Amino acid sequence: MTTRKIQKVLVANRGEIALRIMRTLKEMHIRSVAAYSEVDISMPFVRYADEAYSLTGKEARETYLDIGKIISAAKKSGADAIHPGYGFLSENSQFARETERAGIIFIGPGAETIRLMGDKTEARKIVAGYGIPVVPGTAEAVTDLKEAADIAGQIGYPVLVKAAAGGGGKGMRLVTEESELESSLRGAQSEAASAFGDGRIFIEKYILGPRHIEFQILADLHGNVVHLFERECSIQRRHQKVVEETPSLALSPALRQVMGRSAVGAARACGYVNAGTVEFILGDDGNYYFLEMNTRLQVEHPITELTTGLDIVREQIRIAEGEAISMSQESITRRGHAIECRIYAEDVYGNFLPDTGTLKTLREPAGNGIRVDSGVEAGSDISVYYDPMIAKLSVWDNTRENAIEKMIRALDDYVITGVKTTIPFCTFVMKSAPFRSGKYSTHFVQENWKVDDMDPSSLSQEALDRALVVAATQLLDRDRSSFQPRKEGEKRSHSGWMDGRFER
Amino acid sequence: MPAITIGGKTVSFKIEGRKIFVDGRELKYEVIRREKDRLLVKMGDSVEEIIYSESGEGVELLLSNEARRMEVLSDRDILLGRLESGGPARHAHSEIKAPMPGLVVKIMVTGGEKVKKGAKLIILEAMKMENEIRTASDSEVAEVLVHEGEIVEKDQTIIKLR
Repeated sequence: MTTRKIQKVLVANRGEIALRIMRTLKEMHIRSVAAYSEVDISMPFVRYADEAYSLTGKEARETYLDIGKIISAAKKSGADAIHPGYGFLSENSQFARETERAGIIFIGPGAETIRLMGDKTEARKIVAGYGIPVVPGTAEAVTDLKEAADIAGQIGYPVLVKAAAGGGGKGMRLVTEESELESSLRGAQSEAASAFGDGRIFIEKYILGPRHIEFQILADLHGNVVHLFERECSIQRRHQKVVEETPSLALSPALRQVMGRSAVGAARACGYVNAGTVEFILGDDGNYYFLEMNTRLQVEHPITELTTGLDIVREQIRIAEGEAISMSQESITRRGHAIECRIYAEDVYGNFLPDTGTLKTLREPAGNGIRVDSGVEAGSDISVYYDPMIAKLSVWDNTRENAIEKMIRALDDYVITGVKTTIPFCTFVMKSAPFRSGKYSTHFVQENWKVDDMDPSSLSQEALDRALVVAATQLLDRDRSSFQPRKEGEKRSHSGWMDGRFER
Repeated sequence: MPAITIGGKTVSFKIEGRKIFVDGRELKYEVIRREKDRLLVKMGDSVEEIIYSESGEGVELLLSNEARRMEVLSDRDILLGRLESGGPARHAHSEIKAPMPGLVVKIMVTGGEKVKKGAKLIILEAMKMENEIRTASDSEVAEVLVHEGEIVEKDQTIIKLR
């Protein structure tokens, strides 16, 4: 097989991930192209790119989700490859197909693989055929309530109702008894239909004490598949990840080996090429099940990079060029411990609702072992148009204990004003007993984050003193402006020093 | 005496010249540098940075890395009775505002309905997510000001409670 060197890459994404990809492109002496929506023109990733093309419009669907506009920008720029990042069109098989049809390399798996793995029902069927455990549930999408109730009864409550095309918690409902089934089915269906244009639903067993464990894999065009170990992503709110770490304390070396083999097997089962992630759910009984495969670069990939020393984007590009993976599974090793905290604009005390606004002060933590993947700067808007992520903060240290302390320090050093952020929640996680002990599940938030029991109003004396100093300076300002009005006809003076000198 | 309200607490203080007194104790401080949203202050044996911004009628302060709203009340404000009238904090209980711009997907209450603390009032879809807006305390719905399918702005009053 011949390799084809990539010269110029259009990044079909925005924000931190666009910037992160472009940084690697620069290191590889590959030119980068941004394609941006009108609201993003002043974002750092647009000016970081060697070239930038406007996708006229503001809404995601008329910009970052518009296949035609993106491919024509790629053609106009002469890009020979497109990197889709995560989200948006990254797992859209039609996009991959049309990219390939335009003679442009899609940095990711083939369109057919994306299609297969994007359909959760289809994906489980294929993977189960290779002897990889899957969660007991429907193999086909359910169509009516009667059928759903029969199946749920067979599996046993609690069950999960999930959208076939879903992801990130959208179109998902937990049903603890039959009486809730109908409203949950309807809710999941309408959410899935509006978010993905596909309302098909399936039902599966709900696992107790579940942990979300995923394996990063790399696969090349020559049939080599390796994994880069696991990431533990059980700390979630609204069914979306917010804190991730690697290694996971839940995996014994033996279990890690078995799950790693399953991950590689899942990739082989669908003829996977490029970087991908195989997600598993691990029950408190030690049984694990294939959940889904994410056919793209994952948000939380930095912690794998920190512990393996690899640049996953660089690996993706080399694989897309047709190069073979040079590492054997045995030669891939991991060192130390890494944790990532996602910094979102959210009100953590108010149900984690997204917040919007302009970032006023923004100061990122720095120092040994700290990595910040950010796509914003002071003055940037966190708008309603896109995901409210501000940055990803990752730390590395030689032990888990040290990494936790480093994360607490880094979160404390992080200064963001203008929007509410997930920083207080992330600090809470790092200091909590369940996280420290490693004994936590995806129910962490529900079991530990009790906003009603907290007293966020309590302030230390030092904090009150600071507030008083600010108040005093404000009042002194008001006095100055309201009690010293300039009198009519008063001689204008520019400076006291000049007055003294010339009026003598 | 001027006062601040912060974290549900009101603290009165005295200013003499540039000195601050709280309960007869002088709060020693020295402003080293002052910028638009930042004060560098020598307090006791350390130099502190205080990050804040003026927003609306109050000040937003970053204390122990958490944003806090503070209201600064001068003698004049107190004479005008802003403390007695309750200020924005008390109004918040009687009006439910949209926490973000979005689409009203479902309204779950009607006018006159009694609702328990934490009851679902409305489902607002924003950023591709369905967000449940709930009550903060036991109350009664006075009026629903929006309808299903309506697009609301951030801070738009959507429900009045009594």
